Amino acid sequence: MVEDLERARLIQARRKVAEGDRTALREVYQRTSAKLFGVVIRILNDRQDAEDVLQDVYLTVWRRAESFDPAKASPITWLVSIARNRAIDRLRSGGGRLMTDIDEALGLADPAPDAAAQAVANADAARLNSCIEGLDPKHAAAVRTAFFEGLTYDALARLAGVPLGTMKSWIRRSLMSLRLCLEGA
Amino acid sequence: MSDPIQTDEPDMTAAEFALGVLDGEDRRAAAARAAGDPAFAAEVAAWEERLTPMAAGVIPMEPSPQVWTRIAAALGTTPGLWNSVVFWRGATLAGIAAAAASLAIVAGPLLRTPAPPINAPQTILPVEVASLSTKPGEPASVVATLDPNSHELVLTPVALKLTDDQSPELWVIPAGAQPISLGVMDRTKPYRIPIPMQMNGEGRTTAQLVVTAEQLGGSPDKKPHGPAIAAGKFGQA
Repeated sequence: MVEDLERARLIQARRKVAEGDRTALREVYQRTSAKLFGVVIRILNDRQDAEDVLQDVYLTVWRRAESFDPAKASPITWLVSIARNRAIDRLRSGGGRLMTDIDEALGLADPAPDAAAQAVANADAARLNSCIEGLDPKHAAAVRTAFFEGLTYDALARLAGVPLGTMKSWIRRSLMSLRLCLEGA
Repeated sequence: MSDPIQTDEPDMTAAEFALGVLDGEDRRAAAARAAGDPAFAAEVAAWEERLTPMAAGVIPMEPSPQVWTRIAAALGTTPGLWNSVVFWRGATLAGIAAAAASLAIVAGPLLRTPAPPINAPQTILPVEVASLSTKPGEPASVVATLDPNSHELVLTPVALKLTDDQSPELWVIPAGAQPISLGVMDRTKPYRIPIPMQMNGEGRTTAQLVVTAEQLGGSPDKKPHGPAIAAGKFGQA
């Protein structure tokens, strides 16, 4: 499978990065920077801030490569998690720009209506997507918006026009359902 | 803010942290908890594995080419500390020599040049360091690092004494010869230039490096006019 080959290549490149090999970091960058930049700019909505964060992400990858255990996590999850975490940290300390597109005015429109199409290429994504599809549409939209935009409970609640407690309940229950669904219950 | 928590609902903090919905305060608390509590950290990692596949729906976007350039510059071919202005502040020549001796042992694997030709021997040459200061024995105003592996001279400004309408210009003065300009220096962060010709061979230890305070933009006629504010030389091997 293509994704297994890609995963094997990333694991090998990451091992070389852990040994201090700069060309291996460049290889990881070439393979993954467009995806990670997409993740970060979606959260920050500002190109300059997103590029600063992206730089920080790869320096973090360089420093932490030694401690990544391929038996415990997939390399792309590890990379995307670092990217999301750094972007959200930046957003929480005042970076980026608020969403200003029409979806905000209309409330929480589901940000990934064709997630299904894109998920087909990746078995994990397909499975997660079908579990999300099993949620109440308003709850699914909240979970997806939280993931893609990096918004707080407070911002999500305001966008959806529901009380904070309601949004917390939606998200917590959705996460519990997703875990059960993914575990195959 | 208080939030009535049902006693039969499990603690979803790890999931909330992984998803990213916690506000600044709660997020910092969760991050601190993950740093100190391996069980909690493992829970967070498990949630990241569950949720991250949603990223398959993210539309990729090419960053500007400058992003990689800046990453590569931040890594350099010498270990990070060499280029750290904070590390070098207040360092005297004796201190730098001691640091060079101990770092040479640690720095070996990090001095590899990128992608050498297949048949080239993988020699790792040690870097040399010189302190450019106002007077011998004074703390460094500029640290100069010779990296023979990449054939570059790295200049790290530490404490240049200049006014806002002056530019620091770097000169190499071979023994018994006229100063040759190596250009206006970056006064805020480390930068690199190819090793000047005048510093090849014997020139390495006989040529002097001098910084002068010139008018803004540097000397107009390639000759030093302003006062020397830092000077130094590379030592004998």
